[in-house]
Amino acid sequence: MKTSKIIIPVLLVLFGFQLFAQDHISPERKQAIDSLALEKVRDLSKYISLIGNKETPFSEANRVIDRAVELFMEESEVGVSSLFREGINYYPVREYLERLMRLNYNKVNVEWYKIEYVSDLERQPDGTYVGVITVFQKFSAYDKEGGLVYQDVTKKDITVYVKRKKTQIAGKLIGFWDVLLGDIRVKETSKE
Amino acid sequence: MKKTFYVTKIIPRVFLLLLIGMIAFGSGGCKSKKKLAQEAAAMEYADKVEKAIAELTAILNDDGTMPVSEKERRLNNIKSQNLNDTRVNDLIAQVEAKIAAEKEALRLKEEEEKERKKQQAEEQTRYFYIEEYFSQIANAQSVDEANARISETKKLFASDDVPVLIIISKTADGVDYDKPTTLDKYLNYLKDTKKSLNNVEDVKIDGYGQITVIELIKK
Repeated sequence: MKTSKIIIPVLLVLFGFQLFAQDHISPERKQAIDSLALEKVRDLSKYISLIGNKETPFSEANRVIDRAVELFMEESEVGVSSLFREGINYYPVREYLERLMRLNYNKVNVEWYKIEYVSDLERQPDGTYVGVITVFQKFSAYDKEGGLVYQDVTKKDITVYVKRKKTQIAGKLIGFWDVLLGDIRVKETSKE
Repeated sequence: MKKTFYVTKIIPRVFLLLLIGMIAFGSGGCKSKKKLAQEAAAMEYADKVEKAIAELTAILNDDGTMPVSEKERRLNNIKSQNLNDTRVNDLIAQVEAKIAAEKEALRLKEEEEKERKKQQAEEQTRYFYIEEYFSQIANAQSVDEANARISETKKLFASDDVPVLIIISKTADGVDYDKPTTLDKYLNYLKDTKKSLNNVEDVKIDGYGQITVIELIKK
């Protein structure tokens, strides 16, 4: 009886501490995770630019599509808007990227800029960190003569999911942060 | 008659008494001044000794907050007073020993730090050649050039599937990695993003001298 009076509080304290330790992330580590998620979006911007670029060889563009798809959670969608029509069409990621590759223009430039957090990564009850990163996309399409035939600027929000996972590599257990992108939602589209 | 008696007997005696009194009292005053000065000097000396003992004891009890240079300054100040007191001399010897030990510890620490920096510099340049390969892929002017560099780089590794681990943070809480990737994907990543932002932290090499695992760290 006496022993249980001592052991139970000790276990409670240890269990509570373990829970706290799992929840708590130092500011340095949090900053590293924030940067990692931003970097994944920057990588996606490079991939989209390559896929859209007509000078990218077909095999390279297909390989880059595979890499880009790996950045997303399954069943994620990308919103597409146009100055010529109302409403936004949503496509599965791979379909969106393949459509981008096959666009019927002579030259396409897709540039992402002002890539920043609009909502910081926040820890969810299941341990996943969720945040929203906003980007501005400038899309420019040219005809055979090099004339600009279409251009718009779209503000897009990308949901980011970051989860701590573990894996064993070459006999060593390593803890890594798995960053996955969710839907890309169109917030606004304008001419410039 | 009476007047003569006064002049010849009383007045000289009175003078004599006064003279004796003056001599007696005069020399007594001198003696007392000397004594006072001696007492004051003794008190001053005792005070200096006490202060020196207190300061030397403080130096001996210091837990490392007082810099060695400050300890030396205080010790030299006490030594310059030439107090010639056995307790002070004994404490001076102890403080000198303590300062010598602390100086030696500092010297060793500096040497260790120098050695650590030297090793760190060596480690940083040890894998420089691999970083050069990565950099050439990232800075290639065309897809063909980048692919050629990738082929060259792959010769350093055991296979296309060699694990590439990227450290994103290293703190007292532990080491955090990005999602592990493979050599082939990483080299193509360098080509696609045109950036090589990682240093090589560590590699594992097999019996053929080829890399089987590579660990990178964010610059």
